[in-house]
Amino acid sequence: MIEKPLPRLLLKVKGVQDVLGKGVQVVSDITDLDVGYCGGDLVELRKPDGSAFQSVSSLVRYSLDPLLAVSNPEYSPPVSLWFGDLSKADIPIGTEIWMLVDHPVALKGRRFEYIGTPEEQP
Amino acid sequence: MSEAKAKDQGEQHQAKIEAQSLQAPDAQTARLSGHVEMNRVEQGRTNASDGSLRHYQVTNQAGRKLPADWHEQNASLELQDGDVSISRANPIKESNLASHDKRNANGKAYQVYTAEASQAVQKPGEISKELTEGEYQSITKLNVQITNVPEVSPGLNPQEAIRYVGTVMDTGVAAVRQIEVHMTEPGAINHDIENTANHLKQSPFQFEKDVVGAFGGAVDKLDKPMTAEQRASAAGALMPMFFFEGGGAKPIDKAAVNQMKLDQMTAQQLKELGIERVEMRMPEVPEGLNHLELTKADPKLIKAMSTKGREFLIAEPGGELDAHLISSKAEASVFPGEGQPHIVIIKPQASKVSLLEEFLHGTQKSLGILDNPAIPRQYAEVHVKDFMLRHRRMLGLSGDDIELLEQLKQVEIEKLRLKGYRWTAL
Repeated sequence: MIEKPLPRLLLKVKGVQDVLGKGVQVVSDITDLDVGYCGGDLVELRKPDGSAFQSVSSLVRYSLDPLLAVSNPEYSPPVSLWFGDLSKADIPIGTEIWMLVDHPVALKGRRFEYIGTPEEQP
Repeated sequence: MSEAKAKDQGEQHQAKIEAQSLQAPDAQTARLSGHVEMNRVEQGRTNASDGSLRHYQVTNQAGRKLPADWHEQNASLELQDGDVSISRANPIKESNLASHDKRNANGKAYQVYTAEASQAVQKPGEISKELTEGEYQSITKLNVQITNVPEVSPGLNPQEAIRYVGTVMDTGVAAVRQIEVHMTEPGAINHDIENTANHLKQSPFQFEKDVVGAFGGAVDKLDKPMTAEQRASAAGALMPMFFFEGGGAKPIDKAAVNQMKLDQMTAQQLKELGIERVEMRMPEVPEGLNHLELTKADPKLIKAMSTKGREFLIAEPGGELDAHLISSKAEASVFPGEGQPHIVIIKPQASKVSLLEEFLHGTQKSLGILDNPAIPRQYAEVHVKDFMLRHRRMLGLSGDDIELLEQLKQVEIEKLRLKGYRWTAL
């Protein structure tokens, strides 16, 4: 298992959308997320102007168009986070979101088990 | 301003910045430091080596002090971890590391993994000495830039992209409108047939000449340097060719439909333009799945779910939320918040499967399956589809819904496997 230092860069904001008065959704250009991140984690937002602040984030889940998802099994939507207490003005494009906490993932659960190689173990 | 001139100016600007840095007080101190300062720094240095290989040249005068210096150099780099120390003087092999009496800094035995090199080492190609060592010739440099550097379009920001798409559409609409106006004139088709016949009678090769001429003109247009606006305009002018290609067998782009207001025309009006209105199907959907008719999300079901701690936002067509769902190839998304209603954004024509999935993600959140650090993220996706399949009757899913869900579940199981996990509830 590789231990990675904290804080570490989670994603860079490429797009921001107001969710009709229900906070703001940020979109990245990555489709795979650091395994150590978990929805509900406190993250640090580092703005392009050098200022930074912390906020609680939620991971946005998508339901892909079912026919499209089956036809393009390799496709994954871009990783998006939701900040319920923030507005579009708080998160300019280019803001970096840094992880402040890390979580180990279990190797075995009720309906899953880890079968990967030890050195890639999450 | 030419590119070369702009580049020269950029270089001059860079040189000016560098010159300013050299004038800074710390840079002045570094440049003017004398023997005393250098000695002080040398004495304060913990690493005895100066990093140079000059002492190891046999022909060098300094070679006389080789033995002592050799030792200093060897001791300059040492890696320590637990019981193991590795240096130039004490190199270590895999077999030594793997022995059980060696412990790392964590008190555990070392494990040695090996992997075959899978990438071939590619040697760089030869570069002409005339280029690398010859005198600078601006003409040579200019030629290299022109012939070897591919054209890279400058990045567009979203506003620019929308403007250029708008230009394409406007030009396309203008071109289509011309055809439309022409076709409404009395006897237009008869006149066209007559004119075409007379035109083609000029020579047996007239048709080929026309086609070659038309495409040559288009290629000439596109091949010449153009501004982004000019390109957009040229693309729009060519657009009608694609609209009417194959007698409407190809679906027309949705943006073009909106821009040209084709969706506001009756089926008969469209037919007069040579366009047939058919139920839209995604072109990416393979033949085997084309027959599937998914149940649509019922507004009554949405209302019932709203009473169960969900807040639904409908992504209105053309809005920001709709645009994001389209770009993400999604029908719905959910923001599972902590201690508050879960927000579900959904398209008006979303499938029942997508609606149920977003609802069930909220239930997973309440049960501690979603956003649980110990559970792999991809597991929740398999689990939610597996649940729907196991409760298909209760959820009122159709045969087509089930067939698709089975396949979706396999897609998610594969994604889980790629993350190193096996779905064990098979």
